[in-house]
Amino acid sequence: MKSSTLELRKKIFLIGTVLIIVLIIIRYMSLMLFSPAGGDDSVTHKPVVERGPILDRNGRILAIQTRLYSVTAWIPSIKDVGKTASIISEVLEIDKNQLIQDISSRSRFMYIKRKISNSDAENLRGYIDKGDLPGIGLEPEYGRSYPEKELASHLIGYTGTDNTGLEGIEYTYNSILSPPSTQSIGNSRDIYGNQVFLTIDINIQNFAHQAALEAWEKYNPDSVMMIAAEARTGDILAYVSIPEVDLNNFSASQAGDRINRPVANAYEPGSVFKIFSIASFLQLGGIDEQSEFYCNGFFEINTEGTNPVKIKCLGNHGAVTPETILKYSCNAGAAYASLTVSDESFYRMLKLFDFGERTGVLLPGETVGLLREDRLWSIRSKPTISFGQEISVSAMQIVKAASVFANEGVMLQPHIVSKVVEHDGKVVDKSVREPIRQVISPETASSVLHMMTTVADADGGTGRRAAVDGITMAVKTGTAQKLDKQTGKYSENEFISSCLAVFPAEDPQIIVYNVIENPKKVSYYGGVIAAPLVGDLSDKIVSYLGIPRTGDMVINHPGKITIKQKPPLTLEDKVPDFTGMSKRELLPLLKDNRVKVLITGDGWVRNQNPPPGTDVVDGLNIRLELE
Amino acid sequence: MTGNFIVERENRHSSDPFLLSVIVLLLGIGLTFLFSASYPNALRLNKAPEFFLLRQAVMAAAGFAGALFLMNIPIEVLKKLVFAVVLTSLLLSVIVLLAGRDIQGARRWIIIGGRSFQPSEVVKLALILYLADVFSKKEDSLDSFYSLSHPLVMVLLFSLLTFAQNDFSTAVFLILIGSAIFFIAGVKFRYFFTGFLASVPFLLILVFSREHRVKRLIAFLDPDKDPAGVGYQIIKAREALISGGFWGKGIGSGLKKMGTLPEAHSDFIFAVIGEEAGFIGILIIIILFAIFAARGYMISYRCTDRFCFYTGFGITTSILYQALMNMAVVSGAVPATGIPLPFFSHGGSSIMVTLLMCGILLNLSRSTKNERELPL
Repeated sequence: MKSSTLELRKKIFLIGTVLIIVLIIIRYMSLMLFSPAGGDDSVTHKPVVERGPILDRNGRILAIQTRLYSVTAWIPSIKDVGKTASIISEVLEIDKNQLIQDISSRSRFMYIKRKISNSDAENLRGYIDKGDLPGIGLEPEYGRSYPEKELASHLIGYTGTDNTGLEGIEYTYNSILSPPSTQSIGNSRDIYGNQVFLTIDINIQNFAHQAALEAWEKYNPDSVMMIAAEARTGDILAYVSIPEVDLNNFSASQAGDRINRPVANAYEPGSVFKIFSIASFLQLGGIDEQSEFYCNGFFEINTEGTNPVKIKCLGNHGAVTPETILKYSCNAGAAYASLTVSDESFYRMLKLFDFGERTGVLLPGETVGLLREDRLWSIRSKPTISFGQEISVSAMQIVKAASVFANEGVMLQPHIVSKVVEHDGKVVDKSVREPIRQVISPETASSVLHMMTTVADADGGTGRRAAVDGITMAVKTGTAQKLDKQTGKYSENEFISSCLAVFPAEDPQIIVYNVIENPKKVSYYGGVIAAPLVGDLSDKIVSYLGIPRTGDMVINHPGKITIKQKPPLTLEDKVPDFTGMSKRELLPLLKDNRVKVLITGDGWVRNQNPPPGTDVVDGLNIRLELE
Repeated sequence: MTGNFIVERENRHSSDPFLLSVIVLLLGIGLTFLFSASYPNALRLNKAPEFFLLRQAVMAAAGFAGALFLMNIPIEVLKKLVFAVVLTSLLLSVIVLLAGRDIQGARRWIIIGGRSFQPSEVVKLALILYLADVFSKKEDSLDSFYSLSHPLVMVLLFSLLTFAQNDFSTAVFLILIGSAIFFIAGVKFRYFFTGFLASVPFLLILVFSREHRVKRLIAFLDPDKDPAGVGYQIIKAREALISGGFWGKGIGSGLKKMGTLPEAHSDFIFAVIGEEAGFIGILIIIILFAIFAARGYMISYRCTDRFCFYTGFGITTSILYQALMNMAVVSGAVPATGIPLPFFSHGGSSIMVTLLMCGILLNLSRSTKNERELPL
């Protein structure tokens, strides 16, 4: 045969082979030496990230990383599927037949169950060590534990199987709690997430939670919300939404229970809203504190040609002023007061309160509520909005807007995170008081706050059940008919009862807001069921925070002990008594040119020569022994 | 001293010491890493840590003895053995289908004397010897399709029998070796072209006829699609390699073999080497294989005897390309298949047949040395 062809083929084959070898070397080189740090999507390794904890403002742990085991199977190594399945199904309490089916349907690797309990893992480990479970392995995985279970569950949120946040702070602060790795793969494995400190105080949260749970039992409502906030900083101290979920077992909860109602639910606030409308009318100059309106049980305007507007009031209040409008919650009075301002200016005021806007609190799924533009308003809109209908809000919006009354008309940004701290203790972010804007004048704010104190008056104020011993409470209650979604009309038997309190009125520190949705037992009046709840919680907060009550013996103690600094040591004409002085205290002595000081030892002066009282002369040697 | 004896000595020179040392080196390194990669698995199975090492060492010893024998028999005897080897391997291939044992969903093993044996390994050697025999006899009639039909049918038959054992990768590998020998023998390009075109639909059908093959293909294209399933092994192997870096973590200090990387001691041992010995270790082993191949091809190219040439070429190609395929699989460059790394992967049949092949190659080196010195 043509030997030249054969030689050529030998060469082709050799060159091809060399090429393949070179390609393989390059492949390994690029893989092992030049693997980019995560940029290459063919590298899928996720370095172990220890997700940072979530804590309350005082450092109590609310969420923490756990290490749990997942049961893995390398199916080719499983010898006896039946035996394997029966051992595992017994330990993990899962269906044996289903497991056999799962194993048979896969050919190589599978997870049998992820994140099993430590005791189950120990049990399985025993079998594995005995050699009874070939092919079965335990792989450590990081999980999340919530020691306080359902407490503040909607605020904290939860993480999924792969330990990424799905709700609440866990979701919005996901990248802060477990920072995405930018480090090279394989070597550096210790990545620690940041610690997120919430603004809530676990004790106040507990008070609020208990109060809300009692209401839940007593009134059988659809939901109870309870928020407490620091009035002067906007920090949320307690954040309760019931129904709630046990975060350690969130997957077993119902979707409805997981709704984060205080930010996600929009509802008509009812009469609580009167504080914002009265504040608006005052601010706009439509009314003043002395303005008087007449309530004969109705609000009526006669317009030419069109249907007359007639709105029923809950009572026949007679002559009312802004103060009594709030005190008795007179709808007609509020409606008449609304006629003193234009649609547009009222709408603009409400926008200044940020109604119809997200509150900016960092929680997912926030509602904007509903505030229609003034050009879409009907003739009924202004009067009805003035007492909290035709407008929808979230509980968080109300708390945020109410901050104006405690801050001389300035609205504050509510905060739920007080600080973010790196795992080594370095504070990387700290929330500070964040004023948004001057919504109303300081005078209007204090005026409305004063009016609100009358709501808690014992003589018929709707908020009298929110009164707290020795504290001037500024209160407003609300009872709103729920909109019937089917008919589009107000329901006759479903209500939203609420109560807002700002206290102490002379020096507002705390805002408490409570909403009970559709109570089915006892009563549905905000003043009857929500107000006492607010009163109870406020009372506990007052005691807990040590807010002084009138009648208390107030010892004005600044809360810190000052140690008077000694005046710096100077040499007069006589040698003083040095006994007990520290080296630092002796320092000024060295500046004195007249004397020579010789110090021996460490600690404090024990002996001195010459003794105290000796005249100081130039060139005097002072010997001091320290011990 | 008779003249006859001198001729004998000159014709049958001692075997290539260079090749022999490379083989011994590969085997030594192979056993070392096998121990390192297999002891966690041995412990998991409640065996002594050296369990797999001992098993492999016993088979390697047997293979070495066989290699010594094959090294020293005259080539003519080997030629006469071809028929027997082919017949035996065909028989074993049929027996395994009828009475074999299923391991991991494939029927590839026969139990002989308490040990499982994989006939498809012997088939590799049988095919090489058969093709060497046929082509050395049909040297001048390679243009006719008729004369090619016999070897073609045999390659397909071997391949099909192996495929029937659910050993897709070895079946493909047999066709690859066959093609290499066809190519080097001078079979016209158009036959290759036709053959290639004809086989494409078959290949597609074969690949897509089994769920696990499709899954592996998908896992190869996108390991992250199912990181807990088929893609798992590829991902873990890659992690092992990456974590090895340039110098590696040190022999014995790898972590992925501790249960994370499946098949760490057999098909994916190269990943363990990468993790422990780093890129430098990988490079050394690739170079050793390259030296082995260079030596092997040199020996075969220098053979004047066509049978020796084809045999040497086939054996070298078989060992080298198994290694290259395995390395490509481990690095994720080709879809995962069950091709072992010669000298390294745990597997009695594989190490034994590899050493037998080396014995034949060394035998060839004994007769070539002299021929080179002869003026031609």
